[in-house]
Amino acid sequence: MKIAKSQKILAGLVFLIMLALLVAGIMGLMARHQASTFATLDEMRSYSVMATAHQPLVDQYGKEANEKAYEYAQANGYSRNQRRDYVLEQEALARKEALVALRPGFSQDSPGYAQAILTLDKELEKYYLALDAEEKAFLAAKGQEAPPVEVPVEEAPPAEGTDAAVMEAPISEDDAMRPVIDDLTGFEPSAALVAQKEAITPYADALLSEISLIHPALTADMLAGARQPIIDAVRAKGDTFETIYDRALAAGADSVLTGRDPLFMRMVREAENLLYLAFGALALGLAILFYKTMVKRMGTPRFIILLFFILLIVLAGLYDIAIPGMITNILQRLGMYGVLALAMLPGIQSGISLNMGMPIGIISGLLSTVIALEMNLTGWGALVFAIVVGILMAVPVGYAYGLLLNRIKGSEMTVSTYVGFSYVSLFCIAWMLLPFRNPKLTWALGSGLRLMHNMSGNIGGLLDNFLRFNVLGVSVPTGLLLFLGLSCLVMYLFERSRKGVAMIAAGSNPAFAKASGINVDHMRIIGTTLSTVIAAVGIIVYSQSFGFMSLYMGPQQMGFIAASAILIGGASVSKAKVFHVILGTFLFQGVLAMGIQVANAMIDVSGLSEVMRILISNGIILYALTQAGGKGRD
Amino acid sequence: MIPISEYVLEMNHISKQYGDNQVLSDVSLKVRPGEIHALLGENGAGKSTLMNILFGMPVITETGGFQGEVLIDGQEVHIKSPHQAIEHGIGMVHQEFMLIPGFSVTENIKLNREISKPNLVSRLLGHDLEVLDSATMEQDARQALDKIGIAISEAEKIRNLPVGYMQFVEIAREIDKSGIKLLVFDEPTAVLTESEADILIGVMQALADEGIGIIFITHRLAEVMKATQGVTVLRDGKLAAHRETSQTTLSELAALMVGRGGADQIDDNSRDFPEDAPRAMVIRDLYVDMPGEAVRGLNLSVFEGEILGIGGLAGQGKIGIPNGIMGIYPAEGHVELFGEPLPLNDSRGSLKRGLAMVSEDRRGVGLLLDQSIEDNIVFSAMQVNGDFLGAAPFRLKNAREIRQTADQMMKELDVRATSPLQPVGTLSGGNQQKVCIARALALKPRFLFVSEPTRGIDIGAKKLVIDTLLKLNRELNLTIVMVSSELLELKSICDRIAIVTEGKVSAILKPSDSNENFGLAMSGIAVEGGN
Repeated sequence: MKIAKSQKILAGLVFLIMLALLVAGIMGLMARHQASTFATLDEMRSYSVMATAHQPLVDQYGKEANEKAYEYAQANGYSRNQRRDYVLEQEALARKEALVALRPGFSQDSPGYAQAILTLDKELEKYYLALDAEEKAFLAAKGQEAPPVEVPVEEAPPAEGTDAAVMEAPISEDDAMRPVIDDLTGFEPSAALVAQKEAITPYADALLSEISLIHPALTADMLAGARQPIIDAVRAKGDTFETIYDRALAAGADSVLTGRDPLFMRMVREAENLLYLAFGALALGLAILFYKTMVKRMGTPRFIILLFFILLIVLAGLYDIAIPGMITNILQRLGMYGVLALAMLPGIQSGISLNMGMPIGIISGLLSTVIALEMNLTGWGALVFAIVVGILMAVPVGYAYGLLLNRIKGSEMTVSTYVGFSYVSLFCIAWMLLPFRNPKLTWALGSGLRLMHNMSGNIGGLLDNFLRFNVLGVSVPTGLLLFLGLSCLVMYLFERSRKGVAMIAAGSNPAFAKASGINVDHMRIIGTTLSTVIAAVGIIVYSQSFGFMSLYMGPQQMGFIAASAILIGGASVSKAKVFHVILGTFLFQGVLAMGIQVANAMIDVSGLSEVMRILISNGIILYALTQAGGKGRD
Repeated sequence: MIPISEYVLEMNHISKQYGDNQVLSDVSLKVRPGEIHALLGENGAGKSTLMNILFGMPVITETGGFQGEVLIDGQEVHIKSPHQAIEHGIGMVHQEFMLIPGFSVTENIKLNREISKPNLVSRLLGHDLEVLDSATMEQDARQALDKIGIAISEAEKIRNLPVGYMQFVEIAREIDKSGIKLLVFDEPTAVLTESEADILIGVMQALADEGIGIIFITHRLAEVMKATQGVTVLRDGKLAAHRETSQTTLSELAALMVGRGGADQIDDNSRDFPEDAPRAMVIRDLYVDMPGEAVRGLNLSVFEGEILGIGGLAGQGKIGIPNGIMGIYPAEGHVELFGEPLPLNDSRGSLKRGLAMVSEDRRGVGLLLDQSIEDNIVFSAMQVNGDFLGAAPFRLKNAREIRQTADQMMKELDVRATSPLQPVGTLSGGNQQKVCIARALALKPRFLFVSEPTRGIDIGAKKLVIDTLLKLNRELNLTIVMVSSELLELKSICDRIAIVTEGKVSAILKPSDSNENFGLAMSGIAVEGGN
């Protein structure tokens, strides 16, 4: 592949920038371990501690100025508004003056003061380490006996009229997928830890007395009031280089540095971000350099989505979103949606294009799971029962659906979409009428199945937690991924069998298949049935991972999500491979998961998350449908 | 004062290349006013290209134009678009009807040349919003229809008309255009019944009497003799001859069309089979419903070990024969294969009994373009015979065996590709054709149909394909039926050549038979076969 000169120059520039960022980042990271940097950070910290200690004094000056200004204003007959402005102005002025006046030259610092900070810092560090360890142990212990989280929906009184509202608001998958914020309620530190905390007191006292030596103006009362802020200024819980630096910087410490210059410290502070940017620049440079090859290999849509994906990784790094948690999230989503996306594969291969009637299969899976719950089955028995029965129910339905699709060749996508919708609506009635009796499943008043069903305690998380392990902070849902891998393997083997080869030929060139004596209609039925069966299995895997099962309108959107995933993966409406399923699900769910988190971090408005989720996911779906299979459509 | 030219149209020394492919070289055509001039030639002789040049079709201008000059009424013109052609008074009656079924006869005749009256809105917003002047339009349409003597209502919807009449609406549309000087009829009689064809020829003569020059493209030599005054024959992109109809004969035209004498014949490889030699296939009363290539009650026998050619003009049904027997299009009749009756309309059954076919529609029916060479080669054998599959119970594709066979086939047939994994869609036409042949051979057939094996491939590849077929026949004693529009090709390897016209065998000839006989057979005139 020839690379144009302009490409080379541009890429060269980007690589130069990348190199600069990389060098700066590595230098910064290395500098964090240098004594001189530590000295400078300590210097900044002692400044910020002092500034914290001064706060009561500054407050006092401010208060005095405020009162004085008030009196002055009163005396001069200022109007109410004038008075308020004047007072505020005077107070701000006084505070500023006080800060300047109080700013201690560090040369004046007694060596005892710096020493006292260092000593306190060490003790605090030890204490926080111990605290972290205990909290972690507590959480781990709690996790194992986690009581099932009750769904608020189910708690709601099933009064008339609320059902409709409840139906409109199923649990968003985003809520379920959000990384758990550590719930420390009920945490009690051990006696040893309490003692350790007590032991810190004298060191803090020592620091305060050092401060009062430097600034006699600080009364004991003032110092006592500022005690905790001062301690926190030395070291707060979870402090890192960055947070200490940021705090000192906020206190204005950069103006008094004597060791390293402020710019260098800034570089040290941003070292990690510089590395993220360097990674982004590397990706950009490579993208420019190998633009043509990559576009040719994977098609424009995947190229763009991949770039977007990398952009999100860089942004996630810059916004300090925990990468391991995010990878955990993406892996989980991959396993959750992978099997559903796989259901699209035999449909496309057999020539019925995207099987938008997937809800037909999904409902079979839901029905079998509900039957398992009705029978009070739990654990692996329930899972196996649900899958086996789900498959058995999906086969005849899929076969009939295949017969239908053979009569409407050429407009499968439109018809199947509406067949799917109708089937969902049909089952909205069925869910109400089917004779389920288990009170765990039915509405508290009246009959019919509830909207959402909690999977925990029966099949919830069975696959996810099977052989689950942690590596580098990433929690790998081994069982889930294994199941996806196994499903893909079975599909791959089928592709290599005589029937599979025939089915793919019938889908990609019916005239060819017919000339080789293949019954094209029969192959389409096989593909449709397979698709339906996989969809049934897929929803069971999805539900056990998601933790909830959503009946009624729940399955309606699933077809779009699965179709988008496989299209983003590089499939076209007439050609697809197992690889497209995995790549597509990974990209789709990866962009979705990261996009929401990054968007939330960037736009700090609570409650926006659901809006963002809908925007991003539908945006991707739209893009997938319009750009489907850039390579396949040539 | 411009001298009135003797000719309404002169095309002098026209040459045209598509890339390296010389499709026309130094061709001239002259038509007098009021003359019906036949343009003859086999498929691919260059008739369509010549007409495309006349009409300034984009396909010509986009591929670098042409050499030579075009004169209308003695004036040199440069026609760059069909619109300009119409302005110069040239009209065309298409072979495929270009009519809108839901519109009336008048509307079709006046399409895009509607007569309209201005109204208030159109005065404000432009011509596009003027009201149609139906009365005048219908009057004009009636006039045009009367001129050609067709008694159909101008208000009738096209879809309600019999097929033959659609042709007349096309003609009416052309003569309704004012100032029409030259009309081109592109195989107008192909879809007409004999009586309709007679009416059409009458119409043509009436138009000619009004001084309009007519170019009549046809394959039916009898019509040429009957209706025309002049004949131009093209062969292989060259001017074969120009004749006054009164000074030529049917057989001379036939010979001119197909080729002069035996000068350009390739080696004759034909062998003689005795009349009582064992038959590989006997076809009796075969009907095949293949659109555009229908077979209507065909009888034919094929000897064991022979190469039988099937020739004939496009649309006469020769391609329908293999497609019908292989079950690709619905067929009726009796076919015996090696003495056993062959069930029709059962592709798998045909394949299982040792029949194989290399389809004329290489990209549509012959190949899975997305898939690799090796997958294409083994596909049919795997599906039909269950070859190339691994051990039970899974019976997956046996990659090693497939690779072996593919490598061997690619070597034997000289398929040029980077690897057996290359998608066939990226191969050249010739290599694709070889993959098609390899796929048929992987079935280990006893009887092979080859349909248009050299269509759309370059000369070198053509020879390779032909040689391969000859080798297969001689070495494996494989019975081959080769359907081709290229007579020379058939002559070069076939033992006998059956010419199909109108869905039936009109003659079975030896490759050594005269071109005259071949030409006559193709025109549907029964000749004494050389067999």
